[in-house]
Amino acid sequence: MSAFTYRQKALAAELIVNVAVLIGFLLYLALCPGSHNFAPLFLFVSWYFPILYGVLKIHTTEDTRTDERDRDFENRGRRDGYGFLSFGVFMLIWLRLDDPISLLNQLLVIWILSRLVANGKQLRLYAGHESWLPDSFRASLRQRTRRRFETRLAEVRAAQANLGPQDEDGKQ
Amino acid sequence: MSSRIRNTVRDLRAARSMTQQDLADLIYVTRQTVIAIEGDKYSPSLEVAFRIAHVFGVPLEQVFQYEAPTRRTK
Repeated sequence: MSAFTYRQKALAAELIVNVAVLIGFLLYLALCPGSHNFAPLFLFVSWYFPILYGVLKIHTTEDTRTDERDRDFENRGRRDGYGFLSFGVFMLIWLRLDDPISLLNQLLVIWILSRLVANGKQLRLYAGHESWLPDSFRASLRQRTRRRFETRLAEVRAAQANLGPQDEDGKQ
Repeated sequence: MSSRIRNTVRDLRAARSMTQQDLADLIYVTRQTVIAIEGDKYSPSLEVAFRIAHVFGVPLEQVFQYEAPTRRTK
């Protein structure tokens, strides 16, 4: 029995395909700077291969079940991916690219990158990590927040201890 | 990822000579999810947690324990 779920395998395959499509597209842009009319083709390819893989996998694997963990990780990955996509689109609007073909190319690159972000986040969650940040860094951040909270709590408690019932009545 | 929720799923399962796949089938999740739960790498939903307790026939708190963060006292 495999240590990976169907979803993990599909994600890994999708990640590889997206990286390949991105590299191919960037190479194409670098080598053929004059003709940028093939963006829809790359868009189609980047859509097509993961779907083809998924269909093949469903037909060649017995266990393709997904459960709440898969759905949870998928939602968290998508959230990051869409966040990146929104940021990218906002940047494009901010840059105000006039050339529609160039805009389409940029959109495609951002879209593939957002898929990479979504896939990468999900694979990282499957690996047992909580976010993109290293676990030790997150732990230290959490500890610092907790320490700040405890300090504030101690201050509030001390203030409450010094504040008698008469003072409270006096304030009201 | 370190969780504050600990569990005794592995011990309870071993005591009943149950495989991870058996438990996964009974609680409607994948075997990999059972592995993640046993390794404290994933905290299941309440529904799955109750299903696990139901399968083992024990109260929920016997399966899952929450470790509250310790506060420094003056």
